Amino acid sequence: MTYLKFLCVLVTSVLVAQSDTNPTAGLKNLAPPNSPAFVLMDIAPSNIIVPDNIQAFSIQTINAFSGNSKDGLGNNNYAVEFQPYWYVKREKMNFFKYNNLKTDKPEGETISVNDYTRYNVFGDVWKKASVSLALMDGTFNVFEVPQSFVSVGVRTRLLTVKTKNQIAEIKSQYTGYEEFMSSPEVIAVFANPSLSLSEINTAINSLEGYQTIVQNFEQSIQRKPFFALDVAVAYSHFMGDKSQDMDDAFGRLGFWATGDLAFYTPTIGKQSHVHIYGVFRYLRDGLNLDPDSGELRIENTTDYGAKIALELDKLSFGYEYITRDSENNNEERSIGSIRYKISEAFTINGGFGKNFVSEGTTVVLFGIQWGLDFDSSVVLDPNR
Amino acid sequence: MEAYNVGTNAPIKLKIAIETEAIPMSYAFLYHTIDDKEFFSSIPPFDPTQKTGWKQLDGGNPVNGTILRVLTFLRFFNDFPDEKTFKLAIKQVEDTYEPSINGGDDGPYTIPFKLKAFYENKSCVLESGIKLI
Repeated sequence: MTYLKFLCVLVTSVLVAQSDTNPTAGLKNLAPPNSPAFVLMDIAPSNIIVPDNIQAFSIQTINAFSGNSKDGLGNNNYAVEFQPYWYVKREKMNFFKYNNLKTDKPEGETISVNDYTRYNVFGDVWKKASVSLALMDGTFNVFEVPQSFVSVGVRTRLLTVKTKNQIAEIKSQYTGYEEFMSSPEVIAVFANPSLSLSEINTAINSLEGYQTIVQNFEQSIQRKPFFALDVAVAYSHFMGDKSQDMDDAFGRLGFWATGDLAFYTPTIGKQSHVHIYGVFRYLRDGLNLDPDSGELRIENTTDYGAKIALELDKLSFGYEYITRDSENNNEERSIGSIRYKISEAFTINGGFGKNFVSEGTTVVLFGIQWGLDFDSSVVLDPNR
Repeated sequence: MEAYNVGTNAPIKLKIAIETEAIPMSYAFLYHTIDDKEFFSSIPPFDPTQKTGWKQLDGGNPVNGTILRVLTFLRFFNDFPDEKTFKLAIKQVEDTYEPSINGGDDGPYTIPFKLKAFYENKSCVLESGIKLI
């Protein structure tokens, strides 16, 4: 067990060191608490896992305030999550491949935008894959005092489907951008040898029409796919407590699959969507007390349910209802969640409702994301 | 500025290799001297990830005694959650960008480049220059 603890601390330290990130200084690279390693323990605001816009490396934390003290989360709930894609050298990568468009033209030949006739529905599997590792304390309705757990999780997007119109829009925007960047006014900027690289960048960004073209292009690219299937797997290990004569033991093992049908609603907002999610989760749960022996025992449970969410440009809120079929009883999770981006540097995440382990009492969860390397509205360290 | 020995060979050709999620647009200009403000010949702007082959300088004419300047402008259209992730994408550009010249007495040669990235604009500019002697 000592070796496991040491390994966890070592891995966390290496990741932090490699990321050039100091989590106590400026609190940069904090992210919403939605990694599989957190969600597995039912302590995240949402039980839906979507691998969207994950940072290359992030540190996540969560605090909980509950009407029922038996939920008892401690103060040491941290996770790190990273995307291997950003750390591995690219091979044959280009804009179209990144956006899952494929061509049948042989390698080495000149390719035009109209040669991209096929769409790779599995194209996001590697790009969106992330690995998370969490350390957390809690009673989880089983222990009298908070106990420590180590979790590891992986998530990715298994399937991505874009409509023909979405693909045609991307190609059309590319053509428009290429034409603009080949225009005489753009060539004149690059042909001027007296301009520095910064001055060239400023001059291009100041050209009339450039901002409109790139903003429209970005909106086309960032439109949600019509359908996406996200999957995740996570395992949590109970670290044991020698002072209470408890050995380390199996904690929880979970597998998630989330289907997301997204309807674009431009009349509400430029990037607004109505999402209908279908959710499936298999859970092998070792956090159950045998009433006779008082020992921990393992139960298998299956969750299925749905979530509807309205995603506006800055505000998103949703409601999820999930049924859990277990060996001894059936439970429900009925939670509303809300996320508001106050600025690029400050986002509030919340959840409220009835959780699986709350025995009918309300649970309120709260997470904050801030200091994302923009103009931070919260500076905790005056030296930064 | 480094030099490349083209002798009286023709054509001299340029190729740019790059692996990136961004859209790169490359521009190549020939000047008579290093102090010229106006180029005398250029290659039409191109996306080097789509037009991957060799491109002739000055329509295949001899270009000895001139200065070649190559610039590539990148614009990312994917969303970056933070600057750290953007910098990792730029590191990939730095590691894979190769402006090469060929047709001279010394065979293929990769031209050194300088790079500057701009997180606020999600853009990046790369520049290379070489004397063709």
